[in-house]
Amino acid sequence: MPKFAPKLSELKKELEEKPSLVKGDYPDKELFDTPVEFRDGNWCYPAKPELVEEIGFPNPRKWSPEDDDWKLPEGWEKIIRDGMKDRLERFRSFKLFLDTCVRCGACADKCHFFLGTGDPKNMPVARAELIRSVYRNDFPLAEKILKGFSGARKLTPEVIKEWHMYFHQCTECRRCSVFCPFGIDTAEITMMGRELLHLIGVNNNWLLGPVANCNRTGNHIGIEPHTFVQNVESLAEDIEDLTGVTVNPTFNRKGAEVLFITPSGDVFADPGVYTMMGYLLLFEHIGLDYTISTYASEGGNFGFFTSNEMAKKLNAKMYHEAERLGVKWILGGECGHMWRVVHQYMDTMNGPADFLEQPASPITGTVFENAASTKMVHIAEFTADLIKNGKLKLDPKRNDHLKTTFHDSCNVARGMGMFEEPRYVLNSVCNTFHEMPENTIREQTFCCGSGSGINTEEFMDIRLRGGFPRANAVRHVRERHDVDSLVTICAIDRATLPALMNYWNPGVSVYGLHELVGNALVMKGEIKRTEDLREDPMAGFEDEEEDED
Amino acid sequence: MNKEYAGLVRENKAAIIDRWHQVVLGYLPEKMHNKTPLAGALLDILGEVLDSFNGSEGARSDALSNITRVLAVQDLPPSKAMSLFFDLKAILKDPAFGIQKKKQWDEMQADMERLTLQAFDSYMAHREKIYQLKVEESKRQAFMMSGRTRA
Repeated sequence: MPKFAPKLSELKKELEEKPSLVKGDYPDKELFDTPVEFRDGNWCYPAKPELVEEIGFPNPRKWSPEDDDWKLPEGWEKIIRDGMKDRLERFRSFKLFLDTCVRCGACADKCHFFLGTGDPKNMPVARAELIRSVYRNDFPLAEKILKGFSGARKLTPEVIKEWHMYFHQCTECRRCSVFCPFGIDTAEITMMGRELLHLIGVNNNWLLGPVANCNRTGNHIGIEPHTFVQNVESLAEDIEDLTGVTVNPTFNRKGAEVLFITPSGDVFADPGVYTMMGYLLLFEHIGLDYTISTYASEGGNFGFFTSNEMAKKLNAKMYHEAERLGVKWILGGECGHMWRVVHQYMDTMNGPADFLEQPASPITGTVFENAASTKMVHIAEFTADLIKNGKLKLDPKRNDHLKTTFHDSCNVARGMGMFEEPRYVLNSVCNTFHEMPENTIREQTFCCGSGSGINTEEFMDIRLRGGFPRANAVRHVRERHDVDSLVTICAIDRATLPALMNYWNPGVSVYGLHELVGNALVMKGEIKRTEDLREDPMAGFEDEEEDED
Repeated sequence: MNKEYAGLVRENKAAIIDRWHQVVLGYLPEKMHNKTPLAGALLDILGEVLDSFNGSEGARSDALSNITRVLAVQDLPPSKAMSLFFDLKAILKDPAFGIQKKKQWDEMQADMERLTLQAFDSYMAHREKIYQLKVEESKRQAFMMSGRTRA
């Protein structure tokens, strides 16, 4: 029996005490009775027409969710029905998940958006029901089989508005799927819902902007190759100023052993850039033969939140570039959805990557058998192996000014089952670490509330609500252990958790794992270190250095 | 505040908080189980607010900041968010809680009005904070670009 499995008596008590759909605890309303209302703070700006045109998506136009008329294309109902039929045939999971749910409600209170908003349509079962209700009504066989089930409804513009609202209040984090007795992955239903919406031009600028940029220049922000190089070189100069060590990253170098790809947020945004500095110090420390591409300059894949085809295309650029440069394998930085795509989808989308070699650490000789097909290794795994084999000279006291906790990023934790490696690295590079409560970490981790392409500022109110369960867990360790540093291995987390912490837990800062590695690394030829990579003083460190002197 | 009615609130805290919590949960779109993070946090914070009737000015200010931090991001107009103190007043009218003398009632009425105004200030501070977060997030996104501009 698993350690954390609930006892029968607990399940019985929960069923008796908790309100749920199946017990008729919501008698005063039908689920779909309340029309959605778009107002400031609860919707993302629609994609600019030129972006939609650029990537060849349908129905480019100016529109707003607050308008009554969304300017849907002629025959949009048929487009949606045909799109759904096509996807039911192509994606077995979609059909299975629509047919299997018995509405037991086990997922209902597991979603961070439901827990943070109290909106019943944010219960995963209800969110999936938004599509399932149309499926029942429009597909004769499903209707026949499911005859007598309530909730079948016609496809109307109001239904589309509801889809748009609630499929963008799902971050595809998959926490609900952990608790579903049938293993239904509601994230897959959200992905299909968004794909269908894109067919009729119902979209989000924060998603399609990065997709178009990545499609054109290779990264989400649209940094041109020369600027990408300038940014990394600027970080190398900062490293030299702080440590006295010269790091020498190379770009687009053919014949390097390893191609390093990380989210572009690590190259342009605070605090991601400090994580990048950590990578550069690490690679210098071990003498890694690596190069960085200015074309495949993005690990993240916003295509994944848009359509299967776009996810495939953006993922392919990384492998095309690895092939062009003739590297042996790919090392991937701290990212969330890059890893979800690589781990769960890449092999059938673009794999197997037979032109690359099975990754093996040139420093320890460890062969990464789990990457036999994708040929891509996660940096936390790579660094954990280096530490395990005693290849890094570390001084964890250099992080004594930080009291840390670790946020498991949904895509890395639930998407690829990586729980121990980042914790092993973190515990090796710092002396103070406290776990958040058990039901908020590892496979049960709460999302940052801003993943899947909704991390835009106009959506801040919803993000702060959706991120509340995560923030609440951080509050727990802050109150009990005075934790002031939230460490994570995802670029979206690094981009969005600072706002979440600043609102709910002022005084808690957000760090990438390899930023702390960079702080702790004792580099050959370094000058006396008194500040961390953010130029914050390393508390108490100066005295020790003086004593040693 | 150390007033007579505050002592009665302290004596009846469990019963008052139970009713007040249910009323405030009713502000959300659908009823929520007491053990969910938001409902649990609301329970703790409403307790802090009640405790602050017998506490210092600082404790009251912290409690109001905590409750308005939650309410300021919910899908509620400010008037609805602030109505929690009027709802509390209605609960305290229950004779079971013993606040019956005119003096007690007048003191409670005055304090509740003051609390409501203080809470509104705090609510607005949190709304301002949200706008500040948006600006800061934009600055972080342009960190390298703005750094080059400064150089």
